Amino acid sequence: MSSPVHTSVDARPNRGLHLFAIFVAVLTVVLLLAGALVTSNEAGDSVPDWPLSFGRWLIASQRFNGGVRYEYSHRFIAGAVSFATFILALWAWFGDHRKWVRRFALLVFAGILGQAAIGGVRVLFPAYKPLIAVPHALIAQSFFGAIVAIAVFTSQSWFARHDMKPDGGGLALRRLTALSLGCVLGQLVLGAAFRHGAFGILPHALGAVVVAAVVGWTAVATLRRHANDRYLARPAWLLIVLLATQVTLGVLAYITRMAVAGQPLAGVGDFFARLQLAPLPSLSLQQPVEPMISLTAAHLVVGALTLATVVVLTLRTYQVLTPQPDMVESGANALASSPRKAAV
Amino acid sequence: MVQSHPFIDKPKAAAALLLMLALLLLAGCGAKNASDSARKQDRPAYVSKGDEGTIIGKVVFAGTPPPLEAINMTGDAVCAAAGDSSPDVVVINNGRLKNVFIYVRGASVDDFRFPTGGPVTLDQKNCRYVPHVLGVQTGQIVRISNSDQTDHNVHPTPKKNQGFNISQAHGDAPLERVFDNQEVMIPVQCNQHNWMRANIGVLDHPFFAVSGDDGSYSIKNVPPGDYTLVFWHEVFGEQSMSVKVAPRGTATQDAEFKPDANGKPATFLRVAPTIVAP
Repeated sequence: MSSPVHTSVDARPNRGLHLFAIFVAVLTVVLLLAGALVTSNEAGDSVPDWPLSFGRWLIASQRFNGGVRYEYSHRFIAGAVSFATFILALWAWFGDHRKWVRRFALLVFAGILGQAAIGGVRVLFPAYKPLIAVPHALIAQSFFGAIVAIAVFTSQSWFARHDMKPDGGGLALRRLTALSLGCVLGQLVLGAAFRHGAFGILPHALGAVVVAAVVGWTAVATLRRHANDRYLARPAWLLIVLLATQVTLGVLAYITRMAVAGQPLAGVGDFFARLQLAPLPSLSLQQPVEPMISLTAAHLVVGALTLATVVVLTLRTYQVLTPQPDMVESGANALASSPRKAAV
Repeated sequence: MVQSHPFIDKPKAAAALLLMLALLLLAGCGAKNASDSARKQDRPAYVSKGDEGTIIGKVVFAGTPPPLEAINMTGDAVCAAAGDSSPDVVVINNGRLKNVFIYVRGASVDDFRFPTGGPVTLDQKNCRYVPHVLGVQTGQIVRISNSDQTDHNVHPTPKKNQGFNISQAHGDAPLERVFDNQEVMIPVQCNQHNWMRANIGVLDHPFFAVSGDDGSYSIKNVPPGDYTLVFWHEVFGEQSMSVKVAPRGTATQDAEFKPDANGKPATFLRVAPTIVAP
């Protein structure tokens, strides 16, 4: 249960930094969507050079058609996110009193630079597409999770004084949320591997069952133990909604993908019979079409939002739940009250 | 007082992850398919005895073909203006299947070296690859041209040959490439126009054909002998059958593709070969 925000000047959250972190997170969702559209439209190799595009930073308007629209937009938005992350890291460095937050923001900025480099390698070595594209997808989602974490660390609610509670009543929520985080990240890898042709849908489908069970268990356990604590209950409720949406989108995306690949499913039995390890020979027989493109892109975005929500719940759980029942003060609350001058 | 946080202060873990990724990439980039062009050069040159034969036939399709929607070319106004939006991965005219790549396998051709033919052209016209299926010999020049008033990128994705991805603007000079290793087939795609697909079959010998509009094919000047005749289609897969070419003879070999009961791409029905004596 939350109580009033600290009144100490030194422990006051940097509202501007927090809002900017949210802005970067939203921009990152747009970037993820753009990346999803690149893959779904098979446009990843439409611009063969990198870091320039057709030898230029800004391409001529007549070049902006077909698959180039998706790939170049992705590059452009990636540039914007990189610049915004640079500003965020700079702002955190000079505007946040906590040394670990400043270092974390710097690490996140290094991450987006590394991600851009991997994207470039993906373009320059198209023969190694699955090998490169899968880490590219994983780092993209992890970067998004990290930006969300910065938004959490800089939020007013993070700085508020919370009543510390023991993490009891069954398997510890701290462990459950961490397990959920690992499962969601693993599932993102399996999804990317399927999408980029490393293997078939079976691992991703099995992963969906595991993720649904673990994340569902985490959300329900949170609600059963802390139903009156909105700080924890809100992300848990959101997680349930996102999980249901994500599973629905995943099934629909798979059904439409099989149809586009010339192998339409013939009923529920056929749906399960076609869950195979071998990759589909191609994404599409002739060309990717709607609604497969939109459903797959939506599936990816909701997956990212699920990851973000798990990140929020995990961080809050670690902040307000103590591993031992007799512990009354968490490290996070102590962090929030640490003097600003010590960090600058 | 500055405090560390228990689950983000892991720069070593991040560095290890990046290092592993770099090693994976290096390992992948270092792996190359060994060229078999040297093996080809070691074979004796084929000397014609003047008794070569011909393999002819037709490829038919029985049943309902997979549903394919008209191509959506609205992403590029030049392509949309071309007008023809009919799919080209499956083309069936009056029950005859077009764009099946047919080639022979057997000691009578695999053990010899045959002269390489002149350049063959793969054009980009009306935002399609023309032809859609192409056969070439190893070392034979593939001349890739762009007849459209828009840009394309030429992106073959071979497994046993050197791949490339090159942008070709309208008005650019033709590109010339060769493939050194046998590979059936090499998919080619234009990522700017995701419906543009072609397939290139690369063989050491010249005994291959592609079924035409009426599903017929003809492979000429085949040395006499027993062969495996392979039929390959990009959607319906690959199947093979035996065929015997008699001296100066014409062997007729038809083939039939058919979708299965579940609507999956196809099963292949063998048709007994017909040997026509000279």
